Order: sequence, then C-alpha cells, then structure tokens
Amino acid sequence: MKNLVSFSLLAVFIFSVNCGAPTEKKQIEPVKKVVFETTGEDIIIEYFPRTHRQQWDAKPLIIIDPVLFDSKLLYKNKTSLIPWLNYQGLDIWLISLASYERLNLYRLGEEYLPPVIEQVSKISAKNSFYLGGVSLGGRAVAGYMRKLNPVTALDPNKIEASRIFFLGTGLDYNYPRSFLLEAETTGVIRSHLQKICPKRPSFCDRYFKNRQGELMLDHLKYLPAEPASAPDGDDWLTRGTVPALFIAGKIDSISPSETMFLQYKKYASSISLNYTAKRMFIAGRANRLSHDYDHFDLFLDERASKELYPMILNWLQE
Amino acid sequence: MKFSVFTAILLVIIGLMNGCSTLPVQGKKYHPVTPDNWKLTLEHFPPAEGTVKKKHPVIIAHGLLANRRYFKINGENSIALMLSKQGYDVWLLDLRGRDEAGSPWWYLAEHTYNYSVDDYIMKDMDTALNYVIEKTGSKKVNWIGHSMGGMIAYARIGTLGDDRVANLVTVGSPVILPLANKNELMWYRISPGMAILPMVPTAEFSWWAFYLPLVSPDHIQEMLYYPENTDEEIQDLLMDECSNNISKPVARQFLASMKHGELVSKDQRVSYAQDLSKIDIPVFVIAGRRDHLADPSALREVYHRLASKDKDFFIAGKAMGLSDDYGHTDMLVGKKASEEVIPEIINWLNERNKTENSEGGTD
Repeated sequence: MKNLVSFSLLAVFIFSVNCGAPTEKKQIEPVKKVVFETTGEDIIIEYFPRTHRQQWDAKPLIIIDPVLFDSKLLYKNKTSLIPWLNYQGLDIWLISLASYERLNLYRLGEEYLPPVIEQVSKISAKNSFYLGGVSLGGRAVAGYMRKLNPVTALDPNKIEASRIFFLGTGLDYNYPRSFLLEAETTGVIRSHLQKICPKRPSFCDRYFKNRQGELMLDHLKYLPAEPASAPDGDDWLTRGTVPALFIAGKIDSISPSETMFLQYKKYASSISLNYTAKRMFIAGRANRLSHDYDHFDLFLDERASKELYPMILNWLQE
Repeated sequence: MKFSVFTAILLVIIGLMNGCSTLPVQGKKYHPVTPDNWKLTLEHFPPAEGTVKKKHPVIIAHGLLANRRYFKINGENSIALMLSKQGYDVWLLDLRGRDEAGSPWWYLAEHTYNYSVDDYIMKDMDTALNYVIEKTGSKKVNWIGHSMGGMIAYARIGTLGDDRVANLVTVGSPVILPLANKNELMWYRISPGMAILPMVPTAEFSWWAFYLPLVSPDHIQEMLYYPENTDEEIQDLLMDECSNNISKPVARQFLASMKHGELVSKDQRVSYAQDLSKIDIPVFVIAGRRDHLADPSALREVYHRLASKDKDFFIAGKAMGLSDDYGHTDMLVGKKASEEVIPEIINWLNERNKTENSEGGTD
C-alpha cells in the first residue's frame, strides 16, 4: 500500500512535469523523491525530469548512487552530470539505498534493482531504458547485468537496458595494493568515511584528495563491503548483449583503468555485439583532454561537462 | 650575408652547447658482437667498494626511443649507481642501432636501419646475456627492463624459454598493449612517411625540441615523461643525450602490434604476450599511474597472465603514498625516483639476491 501511494504521487508529479515539458532552457526542476520498500530494504528513488526537449527518442536513464560520495554532487549545479543530461532531453532516475551497511553493491544490482526498474518502467511507460553506473555504484549495474538471462533479454516485451555506461567504476580489484584491498587491510572498508578518515588519515590522504591536494571529506559517504573481484566469476561480460561504454580517469586511483580493462576486454570479446558497441576511454592528456582526470574530476570538474558528458550523450544517442 | 653569418654563429653555439652537455658518471664500456656483426655496448658499474657482492649481476635495458644513458643521468641517485652501491654488478645495455651500438646510417653504410624488435629479442639480448654471464661467472642475471627493454625480456623468457634470467623487473613494459589513445594513433598518421625514410627520426626530433622547444607539443613530451615530475635539467639531458631513432622494421612491428593489441613478431605469426603464461620466475611489474605509453591497465593484465608464484605489481603514484603520479620515464629519472621508485626495485631484488655473506640470509 505504501508503495502504491508513493508511486501514484510520483506518477502524478511526472505527468505534471511532462505536460509542461520545456522547449527552452529553464531552471532545473526540484527533485521528487520517494521511498520504495522491497524485501526489507528501503530504496530511495529520485526523479530528475528533462529540462529541454530534444529531437531524439531518449529513453529514461537510471543512475545508481555512487555510494562512496554524496550523490548530490551529481546534481550540484547546471554543469553536473544529471542537470547536464536533463538539459539534453533525458529523464533521469537516481536509485539509492537508505543504508549500505547490510549488503554490497553487486547484491543491490542482482536482487533489489530488478523490481525497482520494473516500477520505473511502469511509471515512465517505457520498457527500455539506459543504465548508468557512476563511481562504485556502477558495481550495482554490473550485478544487474550479471543476472540478466540472455534468452529472456531478447524477449521484445521484456523490460531491458538498451545501453549502459560506467563512469569511474572499478569492477575488479583483485591485484596487489588495489584500493579495495588496501581499504580492507587498513580497516576502512564498511565504514562511514567522514567518521573513519580522522582515524585513518594516511589511507584517506592517499585516496580521497583531489588533484589540488584537498581532502574531499565533506563529500565522502560510505565504503560498503565490496568483494575485490566479481562474485562467481564474470561470465556475464563475455555473453554481453547490451552496448556498454567504460570511462576511467587517467589518474583515478579509486576506480582506475586497471579495475575495468580486463572486464572491458571480456565484454569486447562478446560475439553478440559488434565492435562499435563496446568501448573504453581513458580520460586524460593522451586523449587530448585538458588534463588527466582523477576520480572526483569525473563528477566535479566543470570541464567534464565539455569533455566527458557529451561523450556519454553521444553514446546513448547512437 | 648578415643572415649567413648569424646562422653560422648560431650553429657554432649550438654545436658547442651540444658538446658541453655530458653525463656525470661513466663506466667502463664493453662491446660484445652479435652473430650478425653488430657491436653492442655494455657499460659496466661494478659493486661499489666496501659492499658485499650480490648473488646475480644486473643488466638494465632501455626503451624504444632511447639509449642506455638515462640509467645514469642522475649521477649518484641514478639506478645504475644506486644498485652498484648495494653490491650489484651492473651492466647498462645499448641495443643495436644506438650511436654506440652500430651507429647505423640511412643508406649505404656498414649498418643501416634494417633491424626489428625480433633482432633485439633473438640476437642482442642473447649476446648481452652470454657476455655478462661469461664475464661475471654467474649462471644467471637479474634483468631490469624499462619499457621495450622489459618487453623483449618477456618475449625471450616466455616464448624462447631462456632460463638465464633469475629475476625480472619491468618498468612500464606493455607487452600487452593498452587501449590506443590519440598519441598512439599519431603513429599511424605518420606511418606513410616511412615509405620514404628508413627510420623515424626521433633523435633528430628530440634534438630540435631541445634547442627549439616550440617544435615539441606538450602531449608528445608528456608521453615520454611527466614534466612536472622531472627536473628541467634532466628533461634537457633526456632530449639531448638519451634519444634515438626508430628503424622502419621496429616501427612497423610496433604498428602491427598495436593492431593486434599485443607485441607480435615481425611476421605477425607469434604473439609474445601469449607466452607470458610460461614465465614462472620471480617478476616485479612496475607501472606509472600517469604513464601515457604503458597504462597500468595493460600492465595489470601482464601481471595477471604471468605464471610466476612470486610476482608483484606496483603502481607508482600518489595512492601508494608517493609525491606524485609518475609518468613513463620519470619512474626512473623523476624528481624523487631515487627515494620512491628505485628503492622499491632494490628492496625487491635484495630479497631475491641474498648471498651467504649478506645480512639476514643465505642463497
């Protein structure tokens, strides 16, 4: 009943927003937020309507909470990822858990995301959507994709992701001195970072400073207990049926390129997709960008809206 | 007339400047000869006085665009002398095609730019190993390879099964090639030029970049080293003293390898990366977080494929508590390389080169 009421309210809200869908640039709409309870966990769904109608058949974009830092950074200002994509005509749904203390992100993707996506599909009246993983939240996307059955994925009536992207998502940390292994060793994992960082300054200084050397403490949130490698292998990659884009920051040490390269190569070996449907990009000077991106630059640096977000948009539009 | 006089004076000044730039330390040079008559150079730095000699000597091999000189560019703080001070018998190798290793000329000379990476693997490395083993009496050596100097070691040990390397350290050696970035795609764009020239004139380019910095775009410089992490004097020496031309067959072999995503033989029939799984000696894989030529992603795959039980992977960067995120060459010559990266190499080698006389262990 609680869910029904929540979603009815949300549906009315979406209807009202879309009736007056702006054709001109205008101020970002406030966020509508509901709580959806499923199998004992509170899932928070935030809706960010498009602010500019574009001439393309945009599907809803579902983004998973970065977890590691406050998701508000994704809609901090007009050049942040969500408002920027809203202005390109995308309706965006941000999914997060009320608490990450009881489960990891892969499980969120495997067990909790499917019913939530089903609800989003009903409300938006679309059975096809884009799925975006930002920072560690992308591991939930991997978990969701891992559970996809390749046979039912071909069912035309099935709710399905038509394209996915990972922006600064580490998928496999199973190598010496990786971020997750160091976090485990240092006792930082499964911790509220703002509370633990004063007790573990060495670790936090190493990983959570931006390029300018400022500790991002105000923005940090939680480091869930994540397995270093994907549970039960990662066969889902080699049988991938959904076009996927992987973006890593060149000097990102939280989700560096080496945590996604092997996974990308496995995905690239999928025979179900042609070579243009799987791409990896390292954001840095060697690709003629303004600078080598670190983890926080991917979401906080204004230049990302000129150099990286257009790449994501083009990817979704293809 | 005025212009001619000015040009002549300028050329004399440039010539004098070129002659003035010398490296701070010199070892004794030896010139082993390959089966096809190339005189290589091995520059020798014996164990420093008062040290206990380590178990195996060390051969250090340079990268694609370079010669051996950058291994001693920082004088007492260079990798060659730091190893010597630890008791290692150190040999810096010049592969064929360097000015002190055959000194090829464009056409009609005893040696021309006609050699490939396979020649480095099959002939030069074999010659260097034979020579050092014979000179030192050791049965095996430690091999440290920077960039291509490590790639040829992977190929020789993995594909050819050479068992004369006891321990291998590779620094920025992407035998599995990383994702092509725009810098690397530049090589494709300039490749038509190879129809005319017998080589890629990177040494000449570096020389001009040294005297006329405008000819060297920042992104090319950053591909070789991270300027903010490298002293200006060292940058100048790198460009002026340590660069080398790339022969056409070497360049073509690398272009073919980029297409395959891993180092392949000249005829493209053999993938040297496929045989990484045959390597079971101790290996230390070092990557630079900001390395634009050998991204850590590719080096992690190299590490992943090695069969060695004793292997380690280290990424030189701020996350490891270092002062900066290291680029391709500054891992060995950067501002704090002698405090942050080279000691990692020395500690790793020391653990595997204990002698009966050395502190804390036996063979």
